[in-house]
Amino acid sequence: MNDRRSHHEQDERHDPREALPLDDELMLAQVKSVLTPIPEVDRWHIARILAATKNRQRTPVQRVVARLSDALEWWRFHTPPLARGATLATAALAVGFVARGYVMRGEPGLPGTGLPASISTRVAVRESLSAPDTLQAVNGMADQREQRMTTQFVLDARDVPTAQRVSIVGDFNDWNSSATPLTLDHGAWTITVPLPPGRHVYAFVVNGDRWIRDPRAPEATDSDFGRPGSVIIVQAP
Amino acid sequence: MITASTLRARAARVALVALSLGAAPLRAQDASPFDAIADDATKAALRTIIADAAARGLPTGALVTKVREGIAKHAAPERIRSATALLADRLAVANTAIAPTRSSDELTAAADALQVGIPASTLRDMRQLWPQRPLTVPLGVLSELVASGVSKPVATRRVRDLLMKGANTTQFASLGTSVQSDIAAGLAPDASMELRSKGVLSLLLQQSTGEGVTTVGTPIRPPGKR
Repeated sequence: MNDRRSHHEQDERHDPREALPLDDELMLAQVKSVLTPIPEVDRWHIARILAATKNRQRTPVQRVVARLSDALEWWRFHTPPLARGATLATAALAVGFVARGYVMRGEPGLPGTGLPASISTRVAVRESLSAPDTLQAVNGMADQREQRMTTQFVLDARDVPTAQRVSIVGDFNDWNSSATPLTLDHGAWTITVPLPPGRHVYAFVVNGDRWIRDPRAPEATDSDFGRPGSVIIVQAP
Repeated sequence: MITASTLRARAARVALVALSLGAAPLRAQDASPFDAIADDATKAALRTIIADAAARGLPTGALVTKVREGIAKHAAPERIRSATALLADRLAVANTAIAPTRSSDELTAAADALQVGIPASTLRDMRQLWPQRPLTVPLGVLSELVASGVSKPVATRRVRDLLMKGANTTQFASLGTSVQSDIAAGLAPDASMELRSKGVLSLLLQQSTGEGVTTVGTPIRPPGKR
């Protein structure tokens, strides 16, 4: 009987089924402690609390810098990495385009453009209208044109025998009848005007009120306002 | 700590500063040449058209010039507004057709071509033929020739041929002058266009082989007048 009991006790000590629960609980506790996620911490709020504490001892400049730093931290925290990369790439592109605009906006033939005239004349590039340009346009100021070619206009004085004064109007001088007066020389009213290449419509104004077309130039049909004019085609250099 | 209300307050302050800065230029509009237009509604409409064109990246100089042309020609305010609006529309179409140009002269030339009836598809085609060179003079010549009576198919085909063969702007301008002189002398516009453009084409061919030919000179007389 004693032998059976001692044998039984020996069995109880070495029975692994009774030792396992303790190991399992320990193991489970360890696994649980590893797998249990740490409660989420709002880093932004902690940063703000820390910053508010530090601000008490900061100078105004340091506070501004800290604000900027906070904003950067906020941006980093709330923006996914991909979006951060995209934003930085967009900013870099914007800087690149602005720099390119400064390089390319030089007008052909003008010094300081950094480009040879042969290159700058090939590509017809004009920068977009800036806000002042737009305002100027709304106010009625036309933008400056590019290259201009010297062009002479001649009106035979016999065609306008009563003329005391003659001027020329056209799309090149905003149809201003007092901007470009002709001078009488050797029986002809003449003027030399720098014009940009292309087709231009013009007319002569005699004594400030009578509009006539150039009798020696092709007639331009004015479908907008119905006044006859003349046409000149100025070629590029 | 920057709260939403603080941000809103700052935005409001920035807007106020911007408005106060913009007030002076807006007052300057009172002295603009548009004041020659008596109708306030037309003036406002014109400013809207021009501002809208500027916002779309279109050249506003041509629109302002159109307004001034109307004023100089004593046109009715409604007619000035209508002509300016139509030009803005043409510039928008031209801007798409001959993209990516930003040249106001080139866009204005394209708008003129549209006005005489050249389709936008032709402008796109010409842009593809001359992607790196301004089309201002070729389009100006094309518009002028069509306005002078040359039929659109003939004028378009011949100008296209010259673009393909690499004619320069001087040759285009000479072609326009020669055809106009021929028409003034009584020659049929299409016949003159064919003959003169063939002359320029042969000149281009001669140039490529090293020889020279001149195509400009006295107008060709029509057969009936010889």
